[in-house]
Amino acid sequence: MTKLWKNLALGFENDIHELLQQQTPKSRVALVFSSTKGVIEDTIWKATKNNIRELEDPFQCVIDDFCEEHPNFSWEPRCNVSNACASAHVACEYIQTLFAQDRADFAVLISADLVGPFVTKGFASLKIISPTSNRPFSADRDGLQLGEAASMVLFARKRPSRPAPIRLSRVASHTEGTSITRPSMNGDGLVSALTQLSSQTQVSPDLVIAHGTGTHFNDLAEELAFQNFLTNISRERIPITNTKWCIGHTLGASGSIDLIAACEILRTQRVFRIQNTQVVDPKFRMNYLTARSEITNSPSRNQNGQKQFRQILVTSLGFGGVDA
Amino acid sequence: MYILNYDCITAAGDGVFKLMEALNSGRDCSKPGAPMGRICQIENLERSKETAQVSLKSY
Repeated sequence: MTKLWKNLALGFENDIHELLQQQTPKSRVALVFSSTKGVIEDTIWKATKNNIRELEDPFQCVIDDFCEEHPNFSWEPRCNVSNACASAHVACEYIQTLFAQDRADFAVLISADLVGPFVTKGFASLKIISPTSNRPFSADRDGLQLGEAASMVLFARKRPSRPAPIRLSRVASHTEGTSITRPSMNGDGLVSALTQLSSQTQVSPDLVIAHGTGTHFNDLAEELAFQNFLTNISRERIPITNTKWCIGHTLGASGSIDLIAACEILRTQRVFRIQNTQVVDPKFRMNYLTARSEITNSPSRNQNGQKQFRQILVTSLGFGGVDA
Repeated sequence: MYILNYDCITAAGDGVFKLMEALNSGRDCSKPGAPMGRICQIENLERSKETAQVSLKSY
């Protein structure tokens, strides 16, 4: 994993360095890592033989390695956020708190997960791995497909001088605790997170990038939550897309990957379909962009001549009943 | 807060461009690999391949 991070970090280091030179020399850079279990498989297997409390914290080792590789920055505070498949969202929320408390000027979020036996067996035992392909929100969806990813996102507390930075308006999460391995069936947990979000910032999305794992329970919960929440803000026809049909469910990195996809859509004004999904579940009412949906390949504008995509909502749901 | 830069490695390849190219072109990056289905692995990462082999053997 260190090798993977190093490759990613190469592209960032100059950028971070340039930024810090523009700011005060004492700029504080927080380092936040988000993952589930994929990057600590070795420790998990050791823990089956030993007392896990006697083992070194694997995440701390990974963070220490990264800091040693990049000694130019103080990297404070530094921590790992592991909150199931909503890890990246919750990590963003933590960064939001650090900025609000004036504890950091910049933050680097590193998200990563790999697919190993522990992860595969865990999902297989729940019988939620698709034997065919991943078809989120479709009538014939039969489960998720696992994916690997690593990502880095650089955040700033203050608006930078560079033109048109992308603003992350707000992150909100809610822990419902309905079940260990599924969200509340009526989508109430996600509605609570969305309600909390709308109480803190104006929520008027032009697009939703949904978690959309392709499992029966996740997609149903999201559909019901969107029905409840988006209808309340009179935006029932908001298009909904997702990324997992293409690159799999990347677990602790999925929220960051979706955030990056959202940034790219805002930048290019080009949206993508849920290509594997031909027909939406007939019980669903929301506007999912399926393989049959018509979308334009050129940057599009709305009736008022404004950019079509100005605000994008990104959702994540995780084991333990966390919604963000 | 503001997003200044980002980068990623996914099964679509190394970098954001590869990710968006796959999403926009409708390319499913999964390959047969998991015991029960398909998997989206990062290419050129030795550990991924080892992991897949271990995963298959363990079944």
